[in-house]
Amino acid sequence: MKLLCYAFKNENQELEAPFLNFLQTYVLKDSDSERKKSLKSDAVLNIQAHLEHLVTHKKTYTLKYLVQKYKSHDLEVLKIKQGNHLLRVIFYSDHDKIILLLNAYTKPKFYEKAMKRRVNKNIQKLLDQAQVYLEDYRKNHLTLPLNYES
Amino acid sequence: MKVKKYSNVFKQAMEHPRAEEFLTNARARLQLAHALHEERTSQKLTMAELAKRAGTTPAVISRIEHAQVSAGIDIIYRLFKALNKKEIHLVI
Repeated sequence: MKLLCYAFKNENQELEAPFLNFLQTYVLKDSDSERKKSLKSDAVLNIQAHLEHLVTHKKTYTLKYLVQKYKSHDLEVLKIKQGNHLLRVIFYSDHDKIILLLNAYTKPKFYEKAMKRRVNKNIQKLLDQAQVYLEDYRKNHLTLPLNYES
Repeated sequence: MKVKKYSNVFKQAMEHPRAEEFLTNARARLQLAHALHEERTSQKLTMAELAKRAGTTPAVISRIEHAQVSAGIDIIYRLFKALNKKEIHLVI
């Protein structure tokens, strides 16, 4: 099973992948403290381990404990806990041949009731957008590898 | 076709001095989550039932099965004992 990132042509006529955009928040900077570098590396390697697990077991198991399926969409969401944040990776799996990473987001572990409504609304927006990405992929088949580097 | 500039965060993270430890810990949590979930569901037990047998709470089991925590050896021992398992098979 192959892991690929969905990509689209942006207004500068460049290929852009929303999932890779999300990962760029974990790029190590010279200005980062040692602790921050450590936290970022831990988060990235946790994502890597979850993606490996998904690729290894997706064919055989439903992975209900890690993956949530959205009935209203063709999408699935990989649930990752990282420190005080919950990372969510929206993906589509095509007949066990590819796993297409569409987008990802973080949501706070603890949030107030009033904030919960706002968070859920934003998540719904992201899911709807991911569904649009999927339709676009079905038309154009544009992807980038997960380890893409320019 | 031109591509937007991206850094390979996985490559960067692997250069961290504690990278191996971070990756091994995450893989261990996932392997344990998988082993516990498969065993519990194959025995058709709910989290509440297993928790009662093992003297813990369903929340603890949920956190382990979602690979959210590094479980201590005492709780792992109690859970698998409650599942009548003499050994745990983890793929390393």
